[in-house]
Amino acid sequence: MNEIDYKSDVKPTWCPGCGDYGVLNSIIKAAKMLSLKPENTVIVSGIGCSSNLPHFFNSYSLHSIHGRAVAVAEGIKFANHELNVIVTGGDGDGYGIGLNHMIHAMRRNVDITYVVMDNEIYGLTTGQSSPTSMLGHKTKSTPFGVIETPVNPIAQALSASATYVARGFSGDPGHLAELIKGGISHKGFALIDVFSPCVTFNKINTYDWFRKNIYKLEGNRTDDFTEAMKHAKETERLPIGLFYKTDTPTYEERDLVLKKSPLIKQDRVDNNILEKLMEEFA
Amino acid sequence: MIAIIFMQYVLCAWFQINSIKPIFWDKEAFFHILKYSLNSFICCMYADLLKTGGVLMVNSVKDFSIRLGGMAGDGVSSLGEMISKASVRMGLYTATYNSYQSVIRGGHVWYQIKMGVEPLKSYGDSIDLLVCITNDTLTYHMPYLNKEGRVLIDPMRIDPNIKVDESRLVKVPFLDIATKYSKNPIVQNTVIFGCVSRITGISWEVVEGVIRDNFINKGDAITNENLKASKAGYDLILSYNIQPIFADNIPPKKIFLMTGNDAIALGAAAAGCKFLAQYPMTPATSILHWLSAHSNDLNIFVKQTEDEIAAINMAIGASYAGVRSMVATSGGGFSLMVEALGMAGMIEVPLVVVDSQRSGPSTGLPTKTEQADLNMLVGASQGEFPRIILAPGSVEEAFYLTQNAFNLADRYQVPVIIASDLSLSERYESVTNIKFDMKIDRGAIATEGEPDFKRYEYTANGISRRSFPGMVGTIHTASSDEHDEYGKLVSDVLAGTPYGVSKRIESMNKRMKKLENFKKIISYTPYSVKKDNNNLIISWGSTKGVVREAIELLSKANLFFDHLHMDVVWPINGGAMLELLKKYENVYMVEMNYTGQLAKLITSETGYVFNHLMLKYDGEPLYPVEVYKHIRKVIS
Repeated sequence: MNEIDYKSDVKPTWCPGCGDYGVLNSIIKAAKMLSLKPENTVIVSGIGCSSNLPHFFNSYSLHSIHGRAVAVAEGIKFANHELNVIVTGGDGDGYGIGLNHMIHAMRRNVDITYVVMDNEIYGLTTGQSSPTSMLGHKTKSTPFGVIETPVNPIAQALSASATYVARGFSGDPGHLAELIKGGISHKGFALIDVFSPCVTFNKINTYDWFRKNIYKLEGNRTDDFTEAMKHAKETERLPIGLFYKTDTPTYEERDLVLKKSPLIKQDRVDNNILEKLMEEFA
Repeated sequence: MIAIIFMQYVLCAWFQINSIKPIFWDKEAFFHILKYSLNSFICCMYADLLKTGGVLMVNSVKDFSIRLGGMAGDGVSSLGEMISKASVRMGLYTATYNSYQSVIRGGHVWYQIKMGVEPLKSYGDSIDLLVCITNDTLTYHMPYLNKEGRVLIDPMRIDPNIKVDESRLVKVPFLDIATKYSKNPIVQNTVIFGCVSRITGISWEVVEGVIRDNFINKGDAITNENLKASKAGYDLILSYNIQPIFADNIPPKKIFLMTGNDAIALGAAAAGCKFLAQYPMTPATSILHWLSAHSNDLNIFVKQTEDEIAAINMAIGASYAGVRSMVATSGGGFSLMVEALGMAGMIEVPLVVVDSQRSGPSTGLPTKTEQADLNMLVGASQGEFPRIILAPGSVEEAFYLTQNAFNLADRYQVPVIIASDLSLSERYESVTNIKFDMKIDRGAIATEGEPDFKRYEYTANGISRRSFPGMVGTIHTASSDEHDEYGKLVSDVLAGTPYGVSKRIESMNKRMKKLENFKKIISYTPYSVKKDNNNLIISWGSTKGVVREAIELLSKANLFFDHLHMDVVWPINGGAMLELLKKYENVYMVEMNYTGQLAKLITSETGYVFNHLMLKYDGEPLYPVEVYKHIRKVIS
């Protein structure tokens, strides 16, 4: 059997050196390791530089609207839970406009994998502060520096009951691919926050900056929520790796209708069932 | 004096009101009995009065209207539903309107029920029997009571300050009877149910059946106390010797009672809808309730979401993945869905959206009706894309139009909006013609493994074949950005290039022409009471029956009107519409909004300017008499 080509015929349009190339490569690597079938895989994205990713990957995909990718992905998963559903997007899309949906998808434990390319800036709109921009960061919309505490995606995900919480760095695609592979294999909601530098609009959080400020989690107890939260709250140096993983039933496993079989395989019920229901109106 | 009291006590016993024990030495009890006895005495006298002169008690009435009034929390709507259910089980056609407030306790709520031996057009506007659970019911609704109408009231609770013609009262001590059988004062409703049933001619067997069904989950003890209380009310009316309104020879027929929302939910299920995502919002909420309750029987996935934005985006995802999907909301929720509606238009995913309108703007009157969302529905979301708006005129129509909505959505790959409103969504109506024989049309779908699959192929009619994840060889990206036939972006590096510009034009043309054929087949055939009429009334949506009833009233005054009920509100077939409008000298538009939104849309599509608009925006439902009076006034 020929090796599946996960690259589509569309060339990425990101700036040279953009962190998102590393993320795309890691997703392709993970897909190869898992031998994902392109026809059974759907990548969903919102809007932003990173949200163009689905066009560059060979699978079904839905390039949706700003902030709503997770909700769209939930709908796809509920309609056909045999599909591998991966969401890709940026920090503005996921932790800003779309944060509400992310939190609810996490507490539902829908079996989707969410890869957030976190560059701590709005790139496509040419450089405004993002929900993860650091305190003091001067951007076009915050010329005097950010005065809001940034969103902590890992702590946010942990408190929202996500069942697989990890962080990678696009400068280390091998490590990232393993985290993504783990997320796709995991049954339940997986968040992989990825430090993915914007080489054009974020001159602070650069590759070098990340290399200096991150360290790899090793030997941590990933089934220990308190330990995971402790690592999530670290500020001195930023941990990457798997913070937390726990096995709880997914939404699809708990829902009475989806339990029976994928929704798309369930036909409209017979008329006798509808006619029986009519009796409640008699 | 004592002799009189004693006599009245005997009367009491005769009425089988056994809650009173002869404990004359207790002062409080003494006065209680005194009051009770006097009232019973009056009841007795009144029963005789009715027996002899009650116009109301004619056996040949075609229809009869009841209005129940009370406070929120009194169980007025449950009572209304029980009476309505009993009515259809007796073989009577039934139509209702539930007027309630956005409070859980207190205020004033009322429930209108019209019953008839022949099919009804609307809930009507008359009151033959006013049931007062609270005093303000008398104040608010007495003016609308028919000349021969009667008031069913608890004599213990008549406010002496309210002046009312005693001869019109049918007095029943609801609460006293209820407390005899139950500790729960709400049981007075089943007492009233018994009374109303006996007055209208609903048999005890039917009453018993409805009560048993109603309390099925409450256990035997509660069912039995309600049965006893209801029977006491029923028997008390029996003892008044009131001739029942409807004779017991109503031909048996299978009549169902459901709300507009029930019909929408049932229509969706019958159409093979597999996915509902909804956030609760009055008056669309009961769609969520019904489909949630039956999701397991029907194999329909139902999701209450974190907001309406999530609801529509999930539904779009599900539809993209291949299942028929629906969202339901009211105007406020629809406002939140607007951006995603455009995505459905852009990526050409079929979607059914129910907007059950209520009085706006903003939160407006959450429990009151209006048809003022039309401008929004027609123009919702940035840019231009085709959409269909349907507006059912009755509960039965809501069932069939919802089914059609799913076929239209799949066939044309557009959002189809069902514009209901509070009046239709929440009113119970009898339906006799529900059939599950719909032919499901999923529209154009690709076959697996075809080479060079173009999801957005530029075809003659603009409609291209869909493919779903899981299908081999038809992989594509659905993109909210402008795209070419394959779904590839022309919005970034190609934007503004000769290729990008040409693809933009072709893709726009492709999408916009999808409804051209549909538009052409929309026809406008008015309902006509008389040939070669010069007068036409146009209305849309829930007011259909009311307008028809008004036309009937006008006919009786030798004023003849045709009626065009628009169930397809958008798109408008301008040519066919203008042809119709030109046939009439006078065209009246009846709408439940301030600005005449449909009239303006028709003008924009035909150039025809309406001279007569009847617009109502007080939140209350439209009544036949209002239309009648308005038109009479305009004519004179």
